[in-house]
Amino acid sequence: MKSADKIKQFFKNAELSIHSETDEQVFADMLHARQKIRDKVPAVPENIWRIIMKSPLTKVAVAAVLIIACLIGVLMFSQTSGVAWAIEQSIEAVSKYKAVLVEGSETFLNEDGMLQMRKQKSWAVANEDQTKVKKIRIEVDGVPTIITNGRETWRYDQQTNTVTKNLSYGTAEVWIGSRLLEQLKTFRESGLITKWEVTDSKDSATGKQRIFLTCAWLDKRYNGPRSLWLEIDRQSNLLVGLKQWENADWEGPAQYVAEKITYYENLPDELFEFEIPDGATVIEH
Amino acid sequence: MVEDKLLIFRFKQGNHEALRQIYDKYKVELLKLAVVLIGNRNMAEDIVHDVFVKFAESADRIKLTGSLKNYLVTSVINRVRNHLRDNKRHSETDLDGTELLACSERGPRQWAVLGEQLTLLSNALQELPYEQREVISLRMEMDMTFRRIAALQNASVNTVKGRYRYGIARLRSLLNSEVEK
Repeated sequence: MKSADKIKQFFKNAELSIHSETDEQVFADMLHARQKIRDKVPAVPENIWRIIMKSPLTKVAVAAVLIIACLIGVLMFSQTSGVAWAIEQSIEAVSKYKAVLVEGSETFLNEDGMLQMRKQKSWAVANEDQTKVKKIRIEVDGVPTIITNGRETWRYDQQTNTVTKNLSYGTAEVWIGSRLLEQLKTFRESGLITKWEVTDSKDSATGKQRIFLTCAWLDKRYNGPRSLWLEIDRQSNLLVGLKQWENADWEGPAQYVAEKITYYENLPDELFEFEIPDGATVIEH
Repeated sequence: MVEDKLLIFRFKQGNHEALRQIYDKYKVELLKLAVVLIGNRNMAEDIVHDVFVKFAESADRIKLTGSLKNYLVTSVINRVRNHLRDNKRHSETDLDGTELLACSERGPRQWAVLGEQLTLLSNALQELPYEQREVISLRMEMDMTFRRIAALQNASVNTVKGRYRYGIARLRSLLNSEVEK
């Protein structure tokens, strides 16, 4: 072992513990300092944070947006009276938020044709009238791969350690909201969505009442064939889970699974700023 | 890093639990860093205490371009440097700065309890010139890249690597048998 490695190990083994009583006092000092500052400035209205869900799909957030819209659209036009009520409430609930975080996983075939899975997180903020995605950050296995702040876009390839700047991140930029739902209404009315089923039951794990929707369509213009499974919380009327297959029959492993969806009134600008990794090659368009 | 930015965002919204999470996440690392840099537990505690309090006060004005960890580490480094500069000035005016400045704002209660190995390491590091000590501590304890350290020290990467090599060699001889264990 080299000297540096041995010393590094020595550093790691050098322990420090915290005296809990003093620890609380230090934290109390922080809160006190914070309060003093806040007392000096006008109160800022607190944003409301809520947990929700929703799901994007592939590395390009585009498809995700379309899918969700389709899901909600199907719900909206369900012919089951109880579910229809929930769907309307869901649309209303979703439209209250202009920012979202989707946490899930994506399944794909690698170069050898082997099925693989990777974790994906996507943060997105809508534009002012909630018609389009303004800012988005997509992380795959914890690595930022696509970020746009509304003015500049960065794509990062970890394998080649290359950053491509200002190359459009996708073509579809439609936000998940009432406007999209209106579009989906048109889909439904035109008979685009050919399969759908809505059930209402209790989640065995949480005991919460859920609505489950399955739907599918074939039209290639809308990324078909595609099938979806959607879970909605009955109480909040918010979408809480999503699975997507790239076939119209829910066959095989889901190509995308949204395990958790969180909606926010807004997200900090810092989230949509990209820090160029050490040694990365930057290609600007 | 994104999680940190969300924590700051939540904290700015008035969520104290977010501040608690930031505090719990970094306090031990920062205390260790301050201890090995300054070699005085009381002063290290005061510096980290001050960093956290200032952070809580100024969170509304903070706009991170890098990571929160780097921001806090830089805050600790700056305060350590200020302290050493002030301490030197006091020494020159015939004051025993270390003892005088070691009076804690938190009173006599101990915050950090150092293990034997950390005490040994901290004492050995005090034998090194400050620049070498800083490079080694940031590299070993905070896993910081040479490039970042160079930016922090306003020096070239090669200079920083040189400080690192000399520092490691000296530290190895100071710790000799302890490192071999």
